[in-house]
Amino acid sequence: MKTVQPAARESAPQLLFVDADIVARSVIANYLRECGYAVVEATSTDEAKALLARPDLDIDIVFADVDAPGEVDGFGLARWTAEHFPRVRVILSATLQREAKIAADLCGEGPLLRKPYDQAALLDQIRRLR
Amino acid sequence: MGNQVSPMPEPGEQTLCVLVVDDAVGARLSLSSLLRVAGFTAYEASDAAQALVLMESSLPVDVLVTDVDMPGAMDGLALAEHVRRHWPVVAVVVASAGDHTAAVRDPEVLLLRKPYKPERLLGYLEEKRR
Repeated sequence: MKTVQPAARESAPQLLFVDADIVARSVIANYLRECGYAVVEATSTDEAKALLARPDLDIDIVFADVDAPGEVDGFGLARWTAEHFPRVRVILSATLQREAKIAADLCGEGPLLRKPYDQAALLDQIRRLR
Repeated sequence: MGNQVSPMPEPGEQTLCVLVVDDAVGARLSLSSLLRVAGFTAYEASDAAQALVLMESSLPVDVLVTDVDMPGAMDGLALAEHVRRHWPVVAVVVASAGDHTAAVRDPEVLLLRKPYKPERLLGYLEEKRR
């Protein structure tokens, strides 16, 4: 019987990760890149809006810290995104633990359908690096 | 391997880690994306304060590439000087539209006048990678 391999998408899903915490953002963004996502990073919701509005980017997922700085917080960014880019999926996180869990879940459903390692190891890595 | 963590480069690995500091998200995204495509690890900071948080973490940084005009208590020139003083092994590149030749006396700091050819920076980083 022919084995069906997970189909690699023509282009990697684009994920916009919004977090002012540079250590957590750098580690989680690289983790998500390892899972096959094309990750763009924003340090605030203002930057996130500017990136979402760029015609050369085609963001599929916004993954944001609810406390991200900017004119609006993460909830406001979610509302703004739903209004202006309704097909974009928005995921919010309120804690680092939750952020690591969501990143691991995204990896599990990502283009490569595998996690490099689990959320506990991801969280541990961020804490060790601080 | 299990949950062995190896997503971020450790010191001694071949990948060169570049910290890109620019408050203009579009410029930061362009440069970071270029560096990732070229095989470097790129971290992104939108101001000097974020950059210093990363510098003080355990994430390896080999090269700092900073813009000059940025909001916050420290501009790119002050950041470059601070990093040269506290982390002398870190190579520093200052990129600006203005002429800061007189302000940067440290011969170890590479000054790039915007707009510069990406090959100029990539060539410099390739030298550092060897």
